[in-house]
Order: sequence, then structure tokens, then C-alpha cells
Amino acid sequence: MKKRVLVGMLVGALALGLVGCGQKKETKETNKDQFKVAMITSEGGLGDRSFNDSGNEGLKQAKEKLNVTTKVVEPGDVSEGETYLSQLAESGMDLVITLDLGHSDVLKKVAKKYPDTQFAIFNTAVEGSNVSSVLFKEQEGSFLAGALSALVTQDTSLEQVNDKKIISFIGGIDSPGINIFLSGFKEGASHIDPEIKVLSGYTNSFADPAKGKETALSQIGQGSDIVFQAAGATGDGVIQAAKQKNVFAIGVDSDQDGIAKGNVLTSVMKRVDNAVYGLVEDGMKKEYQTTYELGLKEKGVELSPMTYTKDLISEDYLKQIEGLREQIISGEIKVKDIRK
Amino acid sequence: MEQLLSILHTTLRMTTPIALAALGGLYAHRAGVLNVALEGMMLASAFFGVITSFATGNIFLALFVGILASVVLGFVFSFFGITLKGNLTIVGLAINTLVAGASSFILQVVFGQRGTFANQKIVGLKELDIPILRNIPILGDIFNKHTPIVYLSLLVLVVVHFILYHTKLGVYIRTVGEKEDAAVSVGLPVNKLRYISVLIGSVLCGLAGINIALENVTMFVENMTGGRGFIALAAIYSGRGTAIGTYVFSLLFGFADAMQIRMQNIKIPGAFIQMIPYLSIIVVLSVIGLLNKRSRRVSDDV
Repeated sequence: MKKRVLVGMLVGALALGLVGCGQKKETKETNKDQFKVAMITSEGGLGDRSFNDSGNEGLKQAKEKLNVTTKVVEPGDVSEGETYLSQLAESGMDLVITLDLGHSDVLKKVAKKYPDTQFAIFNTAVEGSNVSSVLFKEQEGSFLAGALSALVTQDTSLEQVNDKKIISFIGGIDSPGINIFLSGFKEGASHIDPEIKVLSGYTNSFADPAKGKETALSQIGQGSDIVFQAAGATGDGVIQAAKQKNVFAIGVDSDQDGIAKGNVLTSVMKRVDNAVYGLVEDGMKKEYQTTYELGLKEKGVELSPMTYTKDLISEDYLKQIEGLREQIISGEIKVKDIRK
Repeated sequence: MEQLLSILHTTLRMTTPIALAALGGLYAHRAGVLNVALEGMMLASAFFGVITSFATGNIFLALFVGILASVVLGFVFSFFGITLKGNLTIVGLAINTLVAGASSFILQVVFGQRGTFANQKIVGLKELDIPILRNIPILGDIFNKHTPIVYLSLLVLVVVHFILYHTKLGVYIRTVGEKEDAAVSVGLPVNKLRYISVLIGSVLCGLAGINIALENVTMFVENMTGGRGFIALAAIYSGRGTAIGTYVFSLLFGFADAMQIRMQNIKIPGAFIQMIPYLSIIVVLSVIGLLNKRSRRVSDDV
């Protein structure tokens, strides 16, 4: 019996140890003159091969090139936002960036309490004299993806393409932040050909690849040959479905083309890295803007370089897309923002 | 027609992990143990299965290690819940939380990955194209081209039913659950039988985990079991603790999920359609509750 209790205690200790290690904080020695930046990741944390990693990449670049002190914090969940925001401001950071739009309410409060610290929040607008809001024009990148899909879905010489003019979209949750991808995608598709049908579905989860795959298979079964996903890790399942059925998927946030080479047509990238880097640059000059709206023009969103697919696709299509990109940048084409 | 067959094909695939976990939890349920840890066992199996597949490229080894991980948790659950008589819900939830945390932790520390672990080196189980089945209309459309564990789950249903109702072990397990005092008085090893029940469940949860991570997809994602363990518990209760009932309700939940995926293209707000699986669980549980109440009243009258 004693032995059993001992085993139990060991298991308990192990469990506690693991829980204790769950949160990771990176602290570096700070130099007084250096500009100090802290970044709070959104749920999912580092290693998401997407949003947070991209932000971290920008921070790393800033550290190297601009010689600033950086710190990354990964909260366990949204409710810890207030604690981290206050603690980081308290610890004398010059700039505190949060990638989690769930922190918008607490940020209003915290920003008032620490007027000497500059705050920045992504994907949502928060008012305050010392708050910068960073918004992406996801619709512009999605527009290009939609236009490209509309062209490609009609090119039946490709083995991945069927004769139906159907493409589709899978979102994580039915919300404005996700539907912005859908609306841009649809607009881009109908700009090329109004007859293109765009199916859409939601998986209600950003972490259920099995459901993502199932939803994609269902859409592919209904004739879709290009599936655009904006669904976090659920989207990995979508890409697997595309690979299995040998059709195209479209990646999101970061360059996901390499996940299934040749089956990911392109990725609608959000350059969080550029945005973070830009913020730090502005911060060192003390020239913050209240709102950053980053689209194709500002290189806040863009299509991936299509490393594995650009040779498959007709050069003419790529030229058309490049033309559309220039038209959007020059303001000739205005892509609707459903959030406004 | 073609649509319907494709929905049924999807249904079978979506049912499998729920049904396996539910049939696994069924023994424990009948032995009077509420196994809340189904979710954690599945996740552990998915995690260790994927890691083993990645490291060795051997799918059978992955299957073995996945099930082993689930069984180890079964022992932990049984030890705290049965031997030490801890609160089963708390022990179960602790295991679920532990697995969710530990899998993320190991992923980060050992593999430097967060959230998702996908790699070309991970080997999964492929769909089978069965020659005889392929040529039968309708049946072939529904039952052909599934992955091995899907077929195994149908076999499991038969075996689980057989053991529970046609073997001594089954009778013992049911006795322990229904009248513990009686079981003790005739000298049945109550705790041992409960351990066995939980561990059988672990094996099946292990299969379910592999099904999710290495058959449906070939990757691991944090919390990828997505509450299927709890839906499995609902299936056990809805099926009133019988193997066939449990499977039927797992099938119903799988069907509801397949339907909602299919129906998302109709012009109804997506959120309503996504409610279908959960709504069906509530409706089914309510109806069963009412039926139980009525039959109890009848028996009270007698």
C-alpha cells in the first residue's frame, strides 16, 4: 500500500510539474537606453505556423536590425490579458503589443492607467491617445485569391480542376473577422466571372482538422475544386482533403504552400511580421499612428510567392492577378470591407 | 440519392470515434464507474500514436503505443477512482486536463512545435477498397472505402454486445454495477472487475484516438478530439447502457454532424445548422428522460 501511495504522489508531482511549466516567459537582461518592446500572443501562442509566429518573426527582425529589447508573453487564455498588459506596462516597456483582439476591452482601461506606455492591438480598433490599432485589409488579399481561383477553376487542362465553375470557402467560426475573407474571395471571383458559384461552410472550431477535412470533402463532393480556408489548425485538415482528392486548397495567414506541395494553390498572407516591425520602427521615432490599415499597398496582406504552383498555372492568369493587384493599390478597384 | 449515400458514407466515418469511445465507456458505465476520462484517453492515444508514427514510420507500432498510452491512463484513472475511491468526475477531468497540457508541453519542448504537429514523415492508415463490396450498389457506396478502424468499430460493436450479454464476464460486470452489495456477497472481485471494465474502455479509446489522428487526418492538433469523449458519454446514457443502443445513438450524432456539414450550403444562417448535433443530443436526452420517468411511474404503480 505504501508503494502505491508513493506512486500516486509521484504522478501528482509530475502533473504539477507539467502544469507549472505550461506558461513560458522569456526575460532578457534589459539595458536602460534600449527601446523595449513586449508582445502578447493571441490564443494558440507561438508555434501556430501562422499569426503569432509571424508576429514573433517581425519582433526578431526588429531585435536584430533595430537593436531593441524584446519580450514575448503567451497567456493561457484571454482572461489573463489585463494582468499581462498591466504587468508589462509596469515593468517599463516602451511599447506593448497585443495580438489578441479579445483584449480590446481591458486595453481601454489599462491604457488610461499607463499614459507613458504605448500600446498596440491587432485586428480591432481601440480608442485611446496611447493606443495604436493595427487592422489588415484581408479582403484585398482574399480578392486576389478569389480572382485567381475563378480563373483556375475554368482551366480544365489542369488535372486538379473539374468542369464545374464551383469554388468554396471554409471558415473557423461564422464571425466578421472570418467572413471578411469570404466576402473578398467572393468579390474577386465574381469580378472575373459572375457565374462562379462559391460554396461556404464553417467548422465551429479552429482546432478540429478532422472536421475541416470532412467539410472540405463534402464541398469537393459538390464540385468544388478550389477550397479556401480561414480556420486555423482546422485548415490543416482542409489541405489534407485537397491533397487526397488532388484538388487545390488555398492557405491563410502565413505561406502554407509547402504543407501539400502542388495542392495549395496560393496563400493569403497577413504580414504580421511587417506590421510588428513597422510599429517598432515608428516607436523609435515616436511617430505612432492611431490606426494602421494595412492592405496590398502597405504590404500588410499579399499572396504567397506560389513556389510550387506558379509553373502549373498559365502565365496569363498570373499577369491578370498582378494587374488586379496594381488596380487595387492605385484605388481603381475598391474591395468592400463588410466590417465597416 | 447520390447525396444521401455520400452523407451516409460521411456519417459512418464521423460516427467511428464517438462509437468506439462510447462502446469503451459502456463497460465502465455498466460496472458503475462514470468514465469522464474518455476524452483524455483518446487524446493521449492520438498524441502518442502520431509521435510514434513520426519517429518510426511504423503504423502498427503507432497503434500499439497509442493504445498503450490510453491503457496507462486507464490504470491511473482506476487507481485514483476505484482503489482510492476518489471522486470519478474530478479524477476524469484531471486526466483530461493533464493530457491536454502534457501533449502541448511535450510537443513544444521535444519537437519545438506549438498547436499543430504535421509532418510528411507521419504515416497514417489508408482507406481500403474492398473488391466484393465495391461492386454492390448502395451498400458499396456506404461501406466501401473506409479506413480499417471504421470496419473494426463494427466488429467491436458485435464483440462488445456479445461479451456484455453472453459471457460470464459480462454478467459479472453488470452485477457489479447494478447491485454492488450482491456482487460482494457472492464473492465477486468488485474492484478487479471495475479495473477490467475501465481498461477495456481504454483500449477502445486508444483505437478512437488513432482513428482521429492517423485515419481521418495524419497530424496532431492540440485538443483535436474536440469533445467527442463527452458526446460518447451522452451516447451511452441515451442508449440506456446497451451496446446496440449506444451505437445507434453514436450513429445518430455522427449523422447529425454529417448533415450539418452538408446543409451549410442552404441559405439558413450557419449557426442554426451547426446547432443540429447538439440540439439532437438535448432532444434525445430529454425524450429518453421522459420515457424513463413514465416507465418508472408505471413500475411504481405495480
